[in-house]
Amino acid sequence: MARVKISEFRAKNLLSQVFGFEYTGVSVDLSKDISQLGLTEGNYVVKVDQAVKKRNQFGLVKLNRNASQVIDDLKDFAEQGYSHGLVEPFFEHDQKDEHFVAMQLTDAGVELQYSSQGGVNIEDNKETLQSCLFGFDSDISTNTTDLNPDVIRKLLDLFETNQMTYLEINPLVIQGDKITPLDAAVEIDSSAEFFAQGWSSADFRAPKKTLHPAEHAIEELASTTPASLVLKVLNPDGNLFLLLSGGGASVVILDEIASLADKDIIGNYGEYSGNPNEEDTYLYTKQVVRLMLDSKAEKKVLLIAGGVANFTDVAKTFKGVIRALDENIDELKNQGIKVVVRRGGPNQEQGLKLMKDFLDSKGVTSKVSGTELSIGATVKTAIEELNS
Amino acid sequence: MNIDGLKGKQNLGAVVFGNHPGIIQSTLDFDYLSGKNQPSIRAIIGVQRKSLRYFWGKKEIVLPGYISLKEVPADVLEEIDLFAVAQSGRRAISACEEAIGLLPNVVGGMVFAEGVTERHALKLRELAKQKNIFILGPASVGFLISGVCKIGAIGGTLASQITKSRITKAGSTAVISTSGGVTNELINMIAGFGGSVSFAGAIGGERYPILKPVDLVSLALNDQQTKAIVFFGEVGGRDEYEIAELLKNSANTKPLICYIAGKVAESFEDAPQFGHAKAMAHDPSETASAKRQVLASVGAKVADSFSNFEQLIKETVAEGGQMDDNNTMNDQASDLENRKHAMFVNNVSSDKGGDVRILGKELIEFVGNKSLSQVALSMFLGHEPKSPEFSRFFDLSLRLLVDHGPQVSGAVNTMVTARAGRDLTAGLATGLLTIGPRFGGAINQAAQNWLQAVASGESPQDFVERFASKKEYIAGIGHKKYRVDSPDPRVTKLLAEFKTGDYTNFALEVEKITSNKKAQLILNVDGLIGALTLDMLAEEEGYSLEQIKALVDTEFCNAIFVYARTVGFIAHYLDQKRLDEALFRLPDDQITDLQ
Repeated sequence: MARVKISEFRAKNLLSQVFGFEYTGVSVDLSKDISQLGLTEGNYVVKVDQAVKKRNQFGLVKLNRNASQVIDDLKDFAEQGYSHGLVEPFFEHDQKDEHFVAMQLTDAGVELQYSSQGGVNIEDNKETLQSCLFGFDSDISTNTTDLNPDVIRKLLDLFETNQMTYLEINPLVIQGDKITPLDAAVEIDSSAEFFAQGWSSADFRAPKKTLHPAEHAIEELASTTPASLVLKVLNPDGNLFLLLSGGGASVVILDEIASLADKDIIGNYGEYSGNPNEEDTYLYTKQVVRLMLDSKAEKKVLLIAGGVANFTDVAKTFKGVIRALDENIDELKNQGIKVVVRRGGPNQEQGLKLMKDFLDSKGVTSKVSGTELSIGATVKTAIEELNS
Repeated sequence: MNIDGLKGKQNLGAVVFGNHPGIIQSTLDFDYLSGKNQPSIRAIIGVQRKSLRYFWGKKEIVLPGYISLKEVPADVLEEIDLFAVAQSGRRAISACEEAIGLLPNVVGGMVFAEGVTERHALKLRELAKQKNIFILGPASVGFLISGVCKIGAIGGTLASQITKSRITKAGSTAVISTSGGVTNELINMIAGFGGSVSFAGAIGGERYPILKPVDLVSLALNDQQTKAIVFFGEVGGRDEYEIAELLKNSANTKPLICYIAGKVAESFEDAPQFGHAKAMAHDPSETASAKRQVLASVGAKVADSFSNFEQLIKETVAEGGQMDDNNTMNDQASDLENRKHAMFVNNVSSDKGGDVRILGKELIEFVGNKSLSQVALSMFLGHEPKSPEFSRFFDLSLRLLVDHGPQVSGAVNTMVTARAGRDLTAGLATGLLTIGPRFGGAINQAAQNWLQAVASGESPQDFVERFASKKEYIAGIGHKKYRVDSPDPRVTKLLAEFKTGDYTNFALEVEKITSNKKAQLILNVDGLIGALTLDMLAEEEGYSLEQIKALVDTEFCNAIFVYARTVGFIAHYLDQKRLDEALFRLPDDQITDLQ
């Protein structure tokens, strides 16, 4: 995905270079042994360092902790399924020095939001928010906020050179010339990894506690191919599992399902596009088939569908799909899984014939169509099969 | 954005960055099936190879390849109206900047790659606006005007897809979509209902597309040919508000049939991020429902499901009238799909059932009143030379290089082989295989040196210094026997016969410096023939710098020596046989044992 959140640890390291403070936070991988962090006695802040919204509300930020409490907190986070934590020295300050700063990339430039009354209650202080749009020329003479222009210049520069798309510091503690970000969230443009120097994909943080193993496997797979591969588990015990092609068509199909049936029947969302090779399609299908076989639902249908591809080779991709189905054919048959197929594009006749011959030869109940069946009618067929 | 200029032009020109066979061949097939008399793609950029094989109809052709647009001849650059970028996301911005900067008549382009940064896309949006051109993408499958142009994979990559989607015939429905797959789905749907598209554009599902949907809707409203507009949008972003605003204020009204996908997201508490980067509502105004509503409020026909969308499109196409039967077209397309690349392509000659042709002309007619050297020059160049002067130079060079005494290493080897009892081809081959950087094979290297120095504006002093500092010989300078005071008569003859140009003058300046250091460091016959060949190509033949470079890269200049000296080697072989000389053995005193 284009916009990805990076760790607060990395974000603060970047900020420390700009504002010239020494950052002493410790990033903790919660999957490793955390009993030996080597912390000296003192006051600490412990946080979950992932793309989780409203951490405070969920008790994922703990203030004023001593060294042994820190370890307990981290263990607690790990037990809740989080993967990354952050430990920082507790920073004593006056609440009146807390400010709010946010920057966002828009198509007209970078939009700055600022409030001199930052902190946890920023939602209640919305009327104090000032905002100003800076064009891509980085001219800040148009600043209308009360934030120090020197701070703005430094932040804009940091924002641009690191290809950030969103930056929020709340609170930003300003004590005279001393600038200390206590809580920072940064989103970057992941396409820019080649151009940006300050971060790498190792700093990316997922919002979820832990990804489903199938989702994780597809993320790994997607990072090794120029094709697009997406998989999200919606209901592990769903009835209808989807093997879809195309970013647009896949959403259309989901819409159609939701308009004809309860959305909870949908086991997964996902799509493959950009002409993946046979191997990638095979590996992708394997994950969807596994998910489907693991679903406890009684009736199940696999919907293999997409629009009319421009350049994705239907025959080639279907060969990969067939391999994955073939590997699990006994289980698929034992569970009485039905298959509905609709696809068009390069070599569609060949691909559809391969699919139909395979399913028929294995005795799987199926409906295989080309573009003569519309997307709407295809979804209808799949749901009818489920209810029959 | 205006496409009337494109529609009015008979032979549109395009370049493609990156050798993407699907995109390139399907564009050529589109051109061919649309009845054009030449392919729109004039060059492939960003490739190492100088020519790439494709098909025009069933016939195999080659398209020129260049590393950068900067190498493309100026007259070709002027012919280019459109460009397609099929390279990686990382290179997209530099390719677009190159296209915008170097194509004087460019109207538009497309970027196929995903993974273009948001800032780069926004920068390109700004650049395109300044230059008044359109760029679709990133992550766009392209743009097409039925029967006029196709850039990108849009409409399909196989000939049968092109005919099936009827995009070679001008239609009256515009298709605009944020999804490449759905673009093609809609094109095919319209074709299935018997219509065809007036134009179709895939915006791409990125957050900040370079060309926005509203720009294409505006184009459709102004396009005479377009009677109805089909728009596919998705949850996320505010494009539909811009479209609504445009419709509200537009004097032109045309039916806008639309579907905004992603309503399903509203039924999830935490909606998944769909396949496209932009497909996520950041506030309630960006949901599919909100956007459907705003479009409905300005009179658009908003479908509440994809099936309904299909129905609305069907009604519109029916109103617009059916089109002719497409059967003949499909036959033509299936012909195109059964073609195979031959193992070889060549320009030199052909033999079709005994009809032998050289450079496209029947053999007897071709050799006609040409001398052997004129035949050779034409065949070496791959075309007949324009100027008699180049032919005269080539002929004299051949004659001067024909032999240079039996002592030279190639001739010695031929004689030794002849005396060992081997046959003619073995004797000739031994001599030929001796030709290399130190013997006869320096003409091409010399030409490379002169070419590079003159093209880069290097001074003769710097040139000499460059070689001296590396302790390297300069190819084409120096001779074992000849000196300033006893010049090579071949050099004297060539200089007396032919006018010198930039390259030879440069070589002579270099000679002044080197021969001052050492009397034997004169411009030798290799160096002079290399330089004069460049002058002939530039001044008599009208070759561009790039064309000269390409020819020199083929080792054309060495061919002059190899061809000429073949005569000498054969002569020495035959002579040794006539004399019936016995097996040669080096006399003992001619080898010193160092042990």
